[in-house]
Amino acid sequence: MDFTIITPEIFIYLLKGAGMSLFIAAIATTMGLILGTLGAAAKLSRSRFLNFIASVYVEVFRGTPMMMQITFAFLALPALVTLILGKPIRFNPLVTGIAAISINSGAYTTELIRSGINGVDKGQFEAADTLGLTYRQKMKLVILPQAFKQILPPMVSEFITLIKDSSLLSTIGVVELMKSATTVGANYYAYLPPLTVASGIYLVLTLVISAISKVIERRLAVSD
Amino acid sequence: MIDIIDLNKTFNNKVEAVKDFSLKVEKGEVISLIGPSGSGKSTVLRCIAGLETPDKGKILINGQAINFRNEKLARKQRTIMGFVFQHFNLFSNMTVLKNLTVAPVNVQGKSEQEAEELAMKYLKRVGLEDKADEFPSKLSGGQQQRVAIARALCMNPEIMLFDEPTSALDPEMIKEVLNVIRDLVEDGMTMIIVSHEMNFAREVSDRIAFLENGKMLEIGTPDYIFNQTENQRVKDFLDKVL
Repeated sequence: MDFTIITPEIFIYLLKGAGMSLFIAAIATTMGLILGTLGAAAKLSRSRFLNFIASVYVEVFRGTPMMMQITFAFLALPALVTLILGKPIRFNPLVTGIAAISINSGAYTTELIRSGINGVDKGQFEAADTLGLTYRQKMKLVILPQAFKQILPPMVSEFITLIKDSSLLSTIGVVELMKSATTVGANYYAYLPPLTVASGIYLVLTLVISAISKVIERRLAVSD
Repeated sequence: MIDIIDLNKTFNNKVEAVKDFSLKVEKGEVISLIGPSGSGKSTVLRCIAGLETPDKGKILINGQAINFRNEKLARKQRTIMGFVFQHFNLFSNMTVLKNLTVAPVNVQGKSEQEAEELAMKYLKRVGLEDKADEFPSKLSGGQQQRVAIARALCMNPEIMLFDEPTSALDPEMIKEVLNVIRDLVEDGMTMIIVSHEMNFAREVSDRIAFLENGKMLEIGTPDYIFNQTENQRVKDFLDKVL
């Protein structure tokens, strides 16, 4: 149990891994937000076909483990693409991993945004209608700003979840915080120090982010 | 000005909320719809305002039929109407001033400054110019409803539709809202009012229509409805509420 192996260099190496974890989570949350907005729009649209597509998307990606989705994307999908293209192809682990997490997050975000919009009082829609606002103006000026306030807290916890879930990408060779820690452990035949420090970094990240979101929530609450 | 012809509306294919409702509203006329809860008064008003689509019937505005199939066109045709809800429905994410300017700016293309001047004029009229920068949640029910009326007036409507404007208010706030409506009556505004305030309806209306189970059973001057009608259902109802 020799924590002296965590030299400043090693610590910076772990921090770089943490940077990668944050990067993965940030991109995946953003992509998930875009996919979730599209998914929610499809779920709330009048088109039965779009409703169906969005439901299948949500159910499939919420109903299977993220670990399976990541592994599937990295190991099974290339085989499928190779079969179709007729020549061997290999996927970049980082890109594939971020794509898999984004698509998974999009499924959860679809439901978050849909329930956020449904949570806005029906009278707000009607008032906008009677004032002659177009659908687009109604959504942009009235509904989405109100839905956003409800969506923000669960979106932040989605971001925090993704910081933790990004550790799954260590299994396909992406060097994020988890992978950095196990690499250090393997090099020094001592896992306790690097895993403890890495856990501490995860914890600091998630605590800081939820503290920031509390401040934002309080600011948004002025109209309540 | 507004001609409603044979309006029919059935909910969930079962409840017949409105049956063969016809009504012609002249310019400057104040019409009250009264009747027991669930009689279809609000549904009539919501059909006129486009919040419900009637199954059958026509609504003519200045001689032109509202096209129910074309949402965009129907919205344009309805810009002459202002609607006031039972539950006010002020936009909770906007200040009072913004509530009043959002439609003039975005729908009528007014400049922000022009819309604000107009908004302040109407806020003054409902006695709430000092609340311009507050959020709706900081106002009392009566104040919110007065803001809602001012918001509708900012769109310069030719007819105002009131859907039970005082039913959600505490008794001591009803008067301030009725005073604002009374003020509009004196201005000659055309109005259709759904209300449970019988004395108010009697005082301000040119005609009162009595509805029950989706049907209009009687229509006439306040004096006729309150004193002369032979219709037993109307008499029973008025006996109970007065």
